[in-house]
Amino acid sequence: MTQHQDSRTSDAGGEPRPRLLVIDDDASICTVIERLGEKAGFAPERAVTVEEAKQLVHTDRFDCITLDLSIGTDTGVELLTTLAEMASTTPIIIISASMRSMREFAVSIGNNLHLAVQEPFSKPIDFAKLKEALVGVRKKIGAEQNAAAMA
Amino acid sequence: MNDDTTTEHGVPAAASPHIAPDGSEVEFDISAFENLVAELGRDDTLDTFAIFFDEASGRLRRLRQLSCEEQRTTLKHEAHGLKGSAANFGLRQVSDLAAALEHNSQTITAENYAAALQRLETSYAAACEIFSKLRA
Repeated sequence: MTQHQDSRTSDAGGEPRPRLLVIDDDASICTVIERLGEKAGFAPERAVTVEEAKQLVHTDRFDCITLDLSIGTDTGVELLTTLAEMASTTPIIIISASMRSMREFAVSIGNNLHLAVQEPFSKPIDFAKLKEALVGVRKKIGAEQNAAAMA
Repeated sequence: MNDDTTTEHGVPAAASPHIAPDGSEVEFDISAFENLVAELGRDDTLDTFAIFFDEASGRLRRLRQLSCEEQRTTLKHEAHGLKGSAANFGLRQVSDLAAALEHNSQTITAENYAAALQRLETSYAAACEIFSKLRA
């Protein structure tokens, strides 16, 4: 592993960074979200199909997920069902160019499935607000880790 | 770094006349670039925009190769993808034209599809020209 990869997956103290799964079929949007995630303290990874995302959530542990609702001819809602079957508590941020009603529908499905769905984002993405949301999730993870260490 | 010929984030002033005062129907809304520079820095932003233009060029190429009467579902998904990414990177006119194409994807005629693609490509070419000035 190179030094560059180390800095992407570990923080300055050598502690592993929390992991962010970016699910979107658009490379440019994935890149923006990944780089905002890195600024927020995450180690990002991407999935460009629903199938790839399903495999990753089954084999790896993620601390936050960003989810597009329209991935090729598939829908991101399928992944919500998969995560619910796994009883996932990972925060999920829906980011989609779909109509507002579609985003709200997906959030309501996530809530009904008892998933940790956050406030959704439309496209164009408000970059500053998304970074703020990612920083918020990052801080919450840090606080939970500290509380667990003290228990 | 900032001088009479550049804006705060090093955008050439020559690019600015392409922006309408109300920000609507422009080939390239520079504020999208500047907002990303504020979050990522100029080099990462230029890299990211370059990825966008590569991908958008591919989408336009695929749209040009589609038969609008036989591949309407693919047309709809390509138009939806272009709508979202173009909006993200400040190509508002391309995004609006792609949104119209997505909306009409199930009924558009071959003649109207060709005309819509021509408008998309013209607007996209203008945006590419502005981006090339940003990179200079």
